[in-house]
Amino acid sequence: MRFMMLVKHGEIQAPPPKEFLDAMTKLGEEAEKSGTMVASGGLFPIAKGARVRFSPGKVTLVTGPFPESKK
Amino acid sequence: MRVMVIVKADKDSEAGLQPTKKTKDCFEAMGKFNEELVKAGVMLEGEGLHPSSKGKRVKFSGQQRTVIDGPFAETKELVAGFWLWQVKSIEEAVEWLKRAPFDGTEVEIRQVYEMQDVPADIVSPEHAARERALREELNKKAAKS
Repeated sequence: MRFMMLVKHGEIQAPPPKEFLDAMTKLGEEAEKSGTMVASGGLFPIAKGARVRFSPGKVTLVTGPFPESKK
Repeated sequence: MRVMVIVKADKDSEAGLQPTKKTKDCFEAMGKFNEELVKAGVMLEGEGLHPSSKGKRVKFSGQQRTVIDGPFAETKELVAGFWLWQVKSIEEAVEWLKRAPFDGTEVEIRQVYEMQDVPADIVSPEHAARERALREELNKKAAKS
């Protein structure tokens, strides 16, 4: 069976520290070797994204800013 | 660029797959939409997730790890499914998403970081090479399976 790990974080204002990225790569390499990891990736802040709202008979593009950063 | 399209949970998705006409119709409409996406070369991946009752959360606080069992109450914050799309722009992704057979929900599009999006002062060339190698291995495995 496959599982999806969702990492939540407040919208990142500054790039993550180097130590964090190093640790993530190390973990990724371990998980890949053991055959556990299928895919992984990081997402740009929502400011570079978009939301589309589907209401009965109407589809609208919702523009930011989106305040709920922990989600 | 790649984008992740995140579909939020609702009462129905949290109830799991029910053998109703609504579920069947939904699967059929989604199947058709997916075929269009694949034909256009847009869809890379797309999956649905089991209800949060089958999930867990791990809380990180200092060295402590706390495991919390699902289900989780805030249905609208939960993810029910996702796509990974290859598009030329966020606008193209919006146009595709508008055609999706949804009703009464809000769907989020997020751009995926590629290695070239990460500045060299954050990830050294050596580190970036390791990440690329890692991704190549994953892609090879995916091609085999």
